[in-house]
Amino acid sequence: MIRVIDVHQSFGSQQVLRGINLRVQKGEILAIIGRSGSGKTVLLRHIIGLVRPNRGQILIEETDITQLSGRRLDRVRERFGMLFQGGALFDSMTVFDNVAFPLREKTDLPPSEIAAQVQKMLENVGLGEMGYKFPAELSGGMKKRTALARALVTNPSIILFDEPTTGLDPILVHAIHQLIQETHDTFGYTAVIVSHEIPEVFDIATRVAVIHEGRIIAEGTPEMILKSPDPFIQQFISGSLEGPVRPL
Amino acid sequence: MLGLVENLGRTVISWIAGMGRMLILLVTALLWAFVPPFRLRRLTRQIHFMGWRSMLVVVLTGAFTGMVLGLQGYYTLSKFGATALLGPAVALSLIREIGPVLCALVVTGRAGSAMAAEIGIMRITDQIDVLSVMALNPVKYLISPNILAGVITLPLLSAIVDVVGIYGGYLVGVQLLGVGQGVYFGEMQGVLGIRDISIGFWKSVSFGLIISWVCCYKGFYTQFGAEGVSRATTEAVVMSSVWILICDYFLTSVL
Repeated sequence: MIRVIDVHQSFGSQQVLRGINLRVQKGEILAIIGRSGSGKTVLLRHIIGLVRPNRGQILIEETDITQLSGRRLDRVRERFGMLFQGGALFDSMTVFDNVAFPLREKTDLPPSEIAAQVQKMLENVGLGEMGYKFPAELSGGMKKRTALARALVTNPSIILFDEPTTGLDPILVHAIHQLIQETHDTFGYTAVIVSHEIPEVFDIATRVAVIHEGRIIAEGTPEMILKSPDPFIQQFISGSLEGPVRPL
Repeated sequence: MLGLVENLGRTVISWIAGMGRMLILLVTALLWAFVPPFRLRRLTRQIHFMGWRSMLVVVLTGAFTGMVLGLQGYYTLSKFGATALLGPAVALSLIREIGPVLCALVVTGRAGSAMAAEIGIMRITDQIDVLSVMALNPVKYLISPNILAGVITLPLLSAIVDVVGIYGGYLVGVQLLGVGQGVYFGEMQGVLGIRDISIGFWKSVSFGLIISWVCCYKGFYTQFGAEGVSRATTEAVVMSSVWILICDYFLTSVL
């Protein structure tokens, strides 16, 4: 469904992506793991066309989005949802209006139908009674759930998650992962999750890709990654200070 | 020496690139403003924000500016025995010059800074990227309504400053200093022409464009977190104010 082919990106003198190759299958949950600054978020932004690579192709069902702009790119993006690291909720709108926003802007549905769909989606993420609150009044977990509801409400076929559980306590991490799993099972979307939550993210991922120094160094099922003989992967998974990577 | 030339060259190139980016933003925003769907709700919201919520400060500015003009005008004109011309002096100063400029500076400080900060915060918290991800053009959604709101609102606010200022001058000149009421307004009617009003109008339209354009640009290209927003807001206010004063001189020469 998504193919990333030999993608290079640099910002000034800093080379962030050095030839990324990745394939995402339809309906799977692919987790991308790697150290901070390894290029995970930048890769996600390339997949949705927010950043254009210096070199390489990104195919969304055979359409190379690196060659698209304007309305043609928008048409591809309409199939995506994205949950940003900080939630990126519109802070001048209530929870209800945030979730209703894409429906109001992108569909011709009558207000009563929009209200019904939004309320149902808020209930799906456990925020049925919170619609009147503003983002500033929500906890971190509630913000993530609101952002998830907003990403899901247009029923996209692909959802990108940029560190959906960062900054949450372990119970909430599990709760959000469970929510992603449940909504994935219900709506059947393809998911790409950038995460630091190891090994928790392995519980929901169909496959895992490890990114290191701007390249994908391993790809496979969670079991394969956990058993990988690569010393960097073992050090990263265990969080050990001993290994090929110096922590600081 | 070579380093100095290099730095100078880099600064000039960066300045030209910035100007180009600004111009592209303006042209794109203006083009998008005329492409359906028209975001009338957002436009109305921005007019309300820039116009109605600036009303108190604009009325105060107009009133006290008119009163000062009345006082100073009376003092100056009395030296020539021409206090009968106080009405036209106050009206011409306000309508042609002071009304549009002061109004623009006040709106820059109140609404322009808020506009730059709001868009800047949206940039650093990914809210602008969210619009792109939703296949909504951020320039059309955020910038076009702001620019239209600036162009629509400033002439209206300037007109209010002019009217309130003329009554401020009336309060001081007629009620306190004893110029005849008929003389104050009668002379004004004789001297003031449609051309004077037209000059004031075009100035305020231009200032409205400058405020919304510069402030939106600075907010839209904000970088580096909270400090970036703070810098963008300051630069937006300073740049808008300077441009308003420079533009005022050229428009006065041309119009």
